[in-house]
Amino acid sequence: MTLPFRRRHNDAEATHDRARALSSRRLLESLDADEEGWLTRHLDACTECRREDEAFAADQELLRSLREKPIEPPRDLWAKTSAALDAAAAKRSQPAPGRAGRQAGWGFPVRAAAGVFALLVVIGAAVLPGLLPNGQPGGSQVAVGPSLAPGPTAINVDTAAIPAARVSPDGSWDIFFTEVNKVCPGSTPECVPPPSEHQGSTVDLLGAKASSVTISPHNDQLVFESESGAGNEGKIYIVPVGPAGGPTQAPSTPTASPTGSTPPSESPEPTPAATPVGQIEIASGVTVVGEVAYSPDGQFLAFSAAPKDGSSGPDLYVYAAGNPGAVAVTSDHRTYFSAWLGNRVLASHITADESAAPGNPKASKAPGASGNGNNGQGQAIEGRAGSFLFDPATDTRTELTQPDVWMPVVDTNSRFVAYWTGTLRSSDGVTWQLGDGQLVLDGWNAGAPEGRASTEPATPDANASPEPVVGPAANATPLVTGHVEDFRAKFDPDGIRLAVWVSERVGEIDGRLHLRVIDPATGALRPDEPLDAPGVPALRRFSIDENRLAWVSPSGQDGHESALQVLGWSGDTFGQIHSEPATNLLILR
Amino acid sequence: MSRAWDQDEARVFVEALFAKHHGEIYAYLVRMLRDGELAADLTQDAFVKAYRNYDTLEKDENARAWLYQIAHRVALDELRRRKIVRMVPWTGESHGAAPSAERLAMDLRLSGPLERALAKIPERQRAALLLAELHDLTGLELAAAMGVSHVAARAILTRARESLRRALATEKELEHAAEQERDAMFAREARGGR
Repeated sequence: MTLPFRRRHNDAEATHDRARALSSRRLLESLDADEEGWLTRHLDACTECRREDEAFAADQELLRSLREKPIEPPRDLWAKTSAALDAAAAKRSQPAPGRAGRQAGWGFPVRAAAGVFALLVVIGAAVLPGLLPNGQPGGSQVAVGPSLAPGPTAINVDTAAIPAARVSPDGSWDIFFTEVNKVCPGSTPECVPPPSEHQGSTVDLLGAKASSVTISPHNDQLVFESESGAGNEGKIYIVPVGPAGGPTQAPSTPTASPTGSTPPSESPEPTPAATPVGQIEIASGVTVVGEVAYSPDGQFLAFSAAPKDGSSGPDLYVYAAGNPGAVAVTSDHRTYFSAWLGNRVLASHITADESAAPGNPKASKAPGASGNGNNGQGQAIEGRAGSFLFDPATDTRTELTQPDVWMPVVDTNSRFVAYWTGTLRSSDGVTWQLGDGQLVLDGWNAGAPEGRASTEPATPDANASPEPVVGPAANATPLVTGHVEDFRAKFDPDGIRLAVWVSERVGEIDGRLHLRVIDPATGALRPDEPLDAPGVPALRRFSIDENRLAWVSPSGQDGHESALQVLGWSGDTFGQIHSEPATNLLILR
Repeated sequence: MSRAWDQDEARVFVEALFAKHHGEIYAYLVRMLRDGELAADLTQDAFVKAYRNYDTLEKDENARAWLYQIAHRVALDELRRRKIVRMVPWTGESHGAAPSAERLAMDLRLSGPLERALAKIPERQRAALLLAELHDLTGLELAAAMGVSHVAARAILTRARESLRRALATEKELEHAAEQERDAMFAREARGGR
């Protein structure tokens, strides 16, 4: 795994993408003056984009030359169509007692008709194209847009809406929420139309680092890191979002630091004047490393961030609603935010084996010492992971008892934990990768109630006293097989379905998504996986919530474009549905 | 607001629609499927669906884009079905066993590098290019025809242009290699004939 200390978004690339999009668009419709001006300037400066622009125009001409090869319809087309219309009218006027749905017009029981139809499609389209209903080859049952009714095989599911965004090259983010209430079994994909969406706000997040953009649990705030723009690099902002039309009112205004002893104030203070209306800067001079996540109640925000200049590794930051900014609660420069467990933070830190530092003869040789290498970057420093719980309300830190636990994620019922157990490696002591080990599921010892946890305030590099009862139960089961360079794991709200995204290559946002189901009675993983083994292709960001798992499929799968994919379930019955294809889709939470 | 379905009204409406647009719908389906006979059958199918679903058309001025939406879905459905049909053992007596004269003529007409490149790009992208560049649909009409948002339609079209560009480059390389191979063969024959 690349510990998420890499920039995933390339601003220059986004600029070229925008140029390409505008070059294409202006062949379809006119651009406004600003867009036209921007494109002209960009093409003047970018040879590659200019070539592409010229190629698009040349291809358009080439395509239009096809008009010189007219295609004439057969003369008997009207006669055949007219006869088919007559037949359709006759069928429509026939009484059909007990029918339902659009299949009813054919006058068969629905299931029988569907079966006969499916058989005819396969046999008839191959062998007997003229013998399907109405004499129409294929006898297609495609209905017109919204009138397409659910087929008889759809599975009803009651799922949480999926917050996502479409990102335009001009920096605007169209936020939308996808509602899924029906999914299709694997035997009849696309049995229902794509899920419906309702539009949220459009916000301008030009220069936002895409991997950092996260929406709050109540869908009323976005947090993002700005990685470009005049003077905005390395700043982390919170911006309010409304149901439509962009920023609404300012988020909670500053009160107190999370590390201070003063409880959050009820009385608001003014938003800092230097920030745009409604937008709060909560950190600067840093870059987010890994995920940003709100606590389940939306009152806290946690992330790890490293100095923008790359001089050191990350520390854990916590932002409390109403505070002036996020506060670093560690200072070892080797702490990574993992997940929320209720209103406590799970985080991991690395202790380097100094005896194996570069230059030291004991340093392990890489690549290929064993397991995950360090990509041939010379000598590797080996690191040992440790993890801890941090309570931002009381500033207490509780070390997990078991060593070598990296990026643990615990289910909401505190029964199970998923984590990497093994070593970590680095070539520079700043950027770390997974070493030898495996991704596992384990039982979780929740420990004693609050009173038994260490009550020491979190201090830089604090060596808090270990609590012997908190942490994995040391009864681990491997979660996935094969090479792992990067992973993310999340439980569903029931705590028995665990989504695991795995990448085999460093720094990739494409990987494979698995869903493992845990038998709640035994705590064992069920052998069958609802998603095809060995996982489905998915971008790094996915979302698991009530009765559904959502992800974005990478483009290029079977020639298809990216789409929002949803696996929904009702108990042990699973089905799938996907949105219309689109580009630049991003799941926001 | 959708209209109520009335048999006579629907028939008159679809006949008018056929008179005005059947040629372009047929041409679109030919270009999508590369099969004239099938395109004719599916054109007929599209108009029957327009007739059945006449009540879902909200505004008459959108009729052309709506008709393209039906044709587009019919085409994609057929292409999906072909993927299923490919899995059925071929008996030697199928539709494609003895191509008709019309089919051969159509293949000849669609046999240039551009057509081959078009055939190689993803179906939705091919549809977007054909609808925008050959059938002159506006951005909004394209979105309606493809059943996606305006932004998504533009994005698909951009992707389609990129795909076409790459596919054309590949076709040209293949053509060039084939020419070299032919030249080499002629040269060998010429040497052998001496």
